[in-house]
Amino acid sequence: MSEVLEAQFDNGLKVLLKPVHTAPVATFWVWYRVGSRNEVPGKTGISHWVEHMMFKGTPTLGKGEIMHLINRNGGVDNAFTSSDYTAYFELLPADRIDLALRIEADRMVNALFDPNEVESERTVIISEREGAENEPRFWLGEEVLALAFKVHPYHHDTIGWKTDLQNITRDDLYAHYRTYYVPNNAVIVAAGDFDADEMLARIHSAFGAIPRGKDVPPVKIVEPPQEGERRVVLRRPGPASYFHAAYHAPNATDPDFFAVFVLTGILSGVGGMSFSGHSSPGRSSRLYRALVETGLAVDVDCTFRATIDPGTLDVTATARPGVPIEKVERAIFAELDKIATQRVTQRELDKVIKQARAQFVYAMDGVMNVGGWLGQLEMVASYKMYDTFLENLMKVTREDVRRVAEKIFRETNRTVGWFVPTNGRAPRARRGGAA
Amino acid sequence: MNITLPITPETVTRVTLDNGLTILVKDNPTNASVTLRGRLRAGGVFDTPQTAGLARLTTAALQRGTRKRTFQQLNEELDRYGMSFGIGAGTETIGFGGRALVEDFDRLLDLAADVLMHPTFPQRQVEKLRAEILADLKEDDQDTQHVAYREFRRLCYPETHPYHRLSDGTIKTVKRLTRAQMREFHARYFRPDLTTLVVVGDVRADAAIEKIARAFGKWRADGTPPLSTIPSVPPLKQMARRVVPLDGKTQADVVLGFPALCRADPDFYALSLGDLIFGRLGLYGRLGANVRDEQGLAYYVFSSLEAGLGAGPWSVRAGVNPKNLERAIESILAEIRRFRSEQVTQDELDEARDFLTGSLALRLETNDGVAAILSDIELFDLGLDYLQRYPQIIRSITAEQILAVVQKYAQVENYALAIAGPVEQ
Repeated sequence: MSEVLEAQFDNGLKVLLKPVHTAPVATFWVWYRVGSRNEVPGKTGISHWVEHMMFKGTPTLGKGEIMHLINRNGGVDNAFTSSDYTAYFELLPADRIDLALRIEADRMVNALFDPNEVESERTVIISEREGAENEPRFWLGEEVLALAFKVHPYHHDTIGWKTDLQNITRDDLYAHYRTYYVPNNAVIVAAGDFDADEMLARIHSAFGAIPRGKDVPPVKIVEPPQEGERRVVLRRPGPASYFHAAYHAPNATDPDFFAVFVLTGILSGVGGMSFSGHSSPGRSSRLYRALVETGLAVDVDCTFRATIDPGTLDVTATARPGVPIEKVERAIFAELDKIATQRVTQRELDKVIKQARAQFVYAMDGVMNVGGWLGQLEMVASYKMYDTFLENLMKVTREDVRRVAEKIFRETNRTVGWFVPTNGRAPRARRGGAA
Repeated sequence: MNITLPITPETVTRVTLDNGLTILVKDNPTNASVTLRGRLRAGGVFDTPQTAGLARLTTAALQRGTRKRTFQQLNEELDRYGMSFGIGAGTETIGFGGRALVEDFDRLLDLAADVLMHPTFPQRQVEKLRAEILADLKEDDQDTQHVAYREFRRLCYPETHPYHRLSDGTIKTVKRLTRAQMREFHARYFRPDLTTLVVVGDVRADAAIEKIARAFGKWRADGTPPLSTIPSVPPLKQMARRVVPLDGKTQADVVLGFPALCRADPDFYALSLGDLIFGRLGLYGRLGANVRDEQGLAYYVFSSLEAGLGAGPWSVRAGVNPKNLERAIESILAEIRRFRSEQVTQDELDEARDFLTGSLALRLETNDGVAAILSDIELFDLGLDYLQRYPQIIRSITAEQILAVVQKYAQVENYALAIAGPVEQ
């Protein structure tokens, strides 16, 4: 991907353009460097809520109009918030892409945050959280995350705590918007059927005059090293026992990032490389063979995300009915010990490289994925990481994998959560007040 | 707008091998991968109440061991080459799909043919799979969205209709299914003359067909293929409401709807446009504007029309806090009443038409997208000139036609409504 055009305007806005002429479509993205990582206690979930408010109107585009306008032009659009960033995207027939520029330039500065709309959105956001609460894995993941991070804001999920969602005000939201939605805190990514120079000129005329904002407050919090294993046992009504272990792991710019990526691939396969989450089954991977094939669990997974600050490597499993969760845990720990003490085989290493190479090719089928990848990497490290990704993977040695496994899979570095189903009619909401 | 359509009679190659296997190939040199997609005309429709889940279990078991490959060898081969392959049964079709780099296309075809033609149903693997499916069913029983939809289908279709139940089966029936039944199901329904294979990717049509003929040429079936027929559905004669209380939940999920129509029904396009306007365009259409944007009652509320070989349902789904349940249902019914009483506006009609015709470029951008459309064209017998005719079909639909079909299918008094969550019966 050598032909990415990179530019930066005087107001600090960075632009990455990647022409792709395979189909008459184009995608336009604005990435803001703000997410739950930038939130303080009492205001959790505010970044995600601001994202919702960006669809609720500006002086020129009324509530709900943006999506209708995009549909009217044969396109689709959406947005999402993570711990590290908030992204907005449009996918349109290439000759309609200017509409995306108009919409995004408008809502970068003119979103209204009408108090009535803030109130009706409050219950929508709470409803989004309550939908997630119906899923036992959500409760367990939230508990484990909160325990794994004592001080760093990765402590809370992007949706936020329910009481914060009940208390955040219109002014809180607007202040958050004004602080972080400035050109010097944003990156535009466009990919598709356009001429890069012409597109750059059009983006400049739409965004170039937006004034630079103040520098955004830096996140200086560093999670102290974990000194001992942490555990939580959650007892709620549910259909199965679930296991979740979180280990502190390197961030995207750490030299060990690629070794950990390979480690994860050997444990559970290289899935989700495509931005839309097309995943490979990974049924030949170590964890699947040790947990599912032996009949201890009905599923098992190992995930590792590229993040700005050091995040976690997570191992999750669902116990097969009748199998005690302790047994599932023992089998998982045995696999992790093994990979931390004995080198993986060259064949396993080769397999992960080939999977990654294939996933890279699949991910390039469709401009949405191209835009998603460039933007995501730029948020956590640099879009240039894309060019050298496979090369860096191929440099990882068998000893590298063992070394990072040994470093990560220590007892003192892990937070372990069990979801143990209770029988009968238990209290329905244990936290955040009655439903 | 003018786009060069990738799907026309001139650009897609369609052949039927002498064993009856139908093949469609579209060459796309822009990505160094190949997408394989296929469909068999069989599925849960052939299950009886006693064998519910047989199609699903049999189909999933195909990948658990074949004449040439054990389960482990199959998994190793897929992972080693970064390929994917999966197969699953729905009610009226069994679908499969895979992806490989161009250099591994032969390997993917060989594996797919082996799985479809020569499964061995090894006992240990089948039992493991059964245990996984039983665990899934147990999880589904406490999944509010799943339970609400399952109960909705029970209310919407008479017990004798194949749409009355999902193809999943139940804990009771899946426990009892035998390997003999699975072998028999495979022998009866996995036939080349019930199968369509679609290939899209960086491969020339003649070369692809030759490879497929090599991999699947020996697949044979005797006699005439068993064809499923989906009986027609009477309109609901009264309102049917069912509540399933589930512990440990915060939100109630709701499904409300009606039996509607099949894909071949002349009313299909009018009702599709109506469905877009009612609960999809923008942020969930009129439903979203009212229930979500105005009242803040739900994070999700949308409508969907499932038109298959038979008359699938038209339904509304929403997730709401139990204290807002009745208000949300009343709001959904009020929108249905309004939709039945006046024509959609010119603006709404224009948006729906422009979206369907304009977004074709998006749907045809990727190999997977082209393969999905080709697969539908074949299943519903739409013809390879379908996309050329499509804009005209969509533009010809009027507001009067939409009102007429909405009045025909959406009845305000007689609907099926299922609710699952932290609510009392």
